[in-house]
Amino acid sequence: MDQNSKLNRRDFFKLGGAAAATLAAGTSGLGLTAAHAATLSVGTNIKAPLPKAKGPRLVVVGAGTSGLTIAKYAKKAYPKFDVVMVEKRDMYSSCFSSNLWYADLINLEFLANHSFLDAARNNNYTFFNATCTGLDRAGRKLMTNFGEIDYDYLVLAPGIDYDYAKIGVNDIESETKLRTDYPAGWTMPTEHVTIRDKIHGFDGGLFIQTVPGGNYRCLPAPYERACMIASYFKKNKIKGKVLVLDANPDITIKAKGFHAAFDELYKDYIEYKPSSEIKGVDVAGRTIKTEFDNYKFDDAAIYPNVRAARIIETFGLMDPKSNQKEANIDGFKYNVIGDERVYVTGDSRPMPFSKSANTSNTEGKYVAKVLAAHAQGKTIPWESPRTVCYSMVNADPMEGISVDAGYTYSKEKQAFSFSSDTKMFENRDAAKGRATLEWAQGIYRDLFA
Amino acid sequence: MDRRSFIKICSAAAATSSVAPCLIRQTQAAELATFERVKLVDAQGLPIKASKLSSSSAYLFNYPYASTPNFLINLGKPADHADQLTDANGNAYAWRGGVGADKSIVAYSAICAHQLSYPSKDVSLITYNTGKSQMAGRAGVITCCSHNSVYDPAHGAKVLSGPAAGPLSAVALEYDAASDEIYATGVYGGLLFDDFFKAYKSQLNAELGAGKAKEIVTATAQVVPFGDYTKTAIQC
Repeated sequence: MDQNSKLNRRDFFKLGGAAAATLAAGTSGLGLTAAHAATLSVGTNIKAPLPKAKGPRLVVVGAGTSGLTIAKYAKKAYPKFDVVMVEKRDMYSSCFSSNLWYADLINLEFLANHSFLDAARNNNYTFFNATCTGLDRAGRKLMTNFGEIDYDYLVLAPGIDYDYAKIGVNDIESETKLRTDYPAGWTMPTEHVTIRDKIHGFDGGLFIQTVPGGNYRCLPAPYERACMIASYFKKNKIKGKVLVLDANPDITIKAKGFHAAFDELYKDYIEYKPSSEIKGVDVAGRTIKTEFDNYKFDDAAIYPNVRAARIIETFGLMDPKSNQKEANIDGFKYNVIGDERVYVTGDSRPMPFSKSANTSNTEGKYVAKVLAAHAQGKTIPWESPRTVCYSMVNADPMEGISVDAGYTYSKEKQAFSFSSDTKMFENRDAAKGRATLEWAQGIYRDLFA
Repeated sequence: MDRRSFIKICSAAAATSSVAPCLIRQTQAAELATFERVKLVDAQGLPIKASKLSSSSAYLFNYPYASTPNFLINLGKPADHADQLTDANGNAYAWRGGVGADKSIVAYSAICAHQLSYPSKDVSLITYNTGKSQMAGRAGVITCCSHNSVYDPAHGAKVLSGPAAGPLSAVALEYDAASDEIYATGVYGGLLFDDFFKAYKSQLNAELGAGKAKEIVTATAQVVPFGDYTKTAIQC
């Protein structure tokens, strides 16, 4: 430290950012001269081509449920905000409700006919299609592949990444093969396309759907997916079986409703194995290893454990104690500990809330108010996110089940848990089947209109 | 509602009527936005008689635009409270209470104040529950089963539970005691029409034809039993 005493804190962060940018561009720039690094690291040391901020600039990274909600509602709550949404994808396609596409209950348009541009135009913010490459918190600059953006407030809502090491896959070759050949289907839209093709092109045999431990994205989703696959097999007379290999001791949510569907609708199509933690995958041999058994599959969707999106770690915002590499933020105000200008929301948060659309949507509305209040020198009381979530358990005819949960914080236990007004609606029926579709469309309207 | 759409409404209204009903400021959406004064009529075009409205189910009429549906409800008991309410934007307003001989007749926009679910011909997630609602634990509530918002129609459609940030917009009704007829004169309590048109523009154009959705209802508004309007009413 002594030798670097002339290097102030700000410069230090700049270097960090430049290094991150260089790494993101696929080089190890640390050994290069500054001139070389500047050539190779796209977008550093130039300003992003954006109109001049007309008020306090709020930069939101990630146009998923959380980010889109915050961009819209922060602008509503405090119109002086100049909001810029930074998103690396150039087209939206919804992760929530994607299971329904596998059984043809919806088409791709249902998931993807939502424009980032419309969201920005309708809600008076700027959409900027770029990838984040670095962060200078002392200088309040976000680096992207199209240049730097100065911010007054920064919200990172980057979602999740997969953690393959937790299912015993430790070599990058196997991991890459797994990501390609047997994707989980809970991050990139292109995974959904692959999985649908697997299901529709299935010749029969064993299809394995795995369920990880921990607070994975969308607790009911792997079980709902099993129902949709089984429903498709049943309807199309495909001689296939879905084996649900669950790391947990039982179905993690709406257990009664899912068990009833498995037993009553899919007796010949779904086999459920709880407490089956994956200890490794032989990709070439199409075999999943658990502690006691090996399962050979014909096809599979392998859902590894989840972690916060890698950018949280890269930008130095990870809580080192977090088992899922989640962000080190204030659990009530969402700002990074010690920095009231940088916030982390959505599925990178460390709080044990459900990592699901309605949770992020309701949380986003609260965080928008937190930001508006902070910009005006005020504070607001904490509001719990709400997890209203439907699952389709039958595709023919459509029947659903649902949960409506809130959260409460116990000072004694220093922990969050479901609030007392949490309700489960586990008798499947057509009304909840229809509501499953409208639930999603309501959220799309909220995010894009 | 911004100034531009305010002007749009005015010109649309002016085009269809010699009366210019836009003499009020609409920047505060909680205040009454007057539209055409229209008489509520049945499918034959005959005036609805307030005393003949059943309290065992809701009715529906489109107002102030051709595409914006409203509940018409006979609560079966007086609702004469002047509830003080706050819309989603924090603007305060007073609900005007029920009309009719018993002050039991109320009307609200059927566009959910949370995420704009509304009754289509095919399905409605938002409904008036004359039976016990699972969400509310009682009858006489409006529920939207998309995300479980519950509204109280006897008290200005204020939010009882769920995610809606404000009440359903209220339709201002006028009752003519001599003829037992009902008129709609405007909408107040947080207008969502701009959001509604943004969210459903393509869909409404496909259903009704280009530009039809925003046509102002004039002279009469047709009231139909809710069950006749929508094929599947989802209750929760």
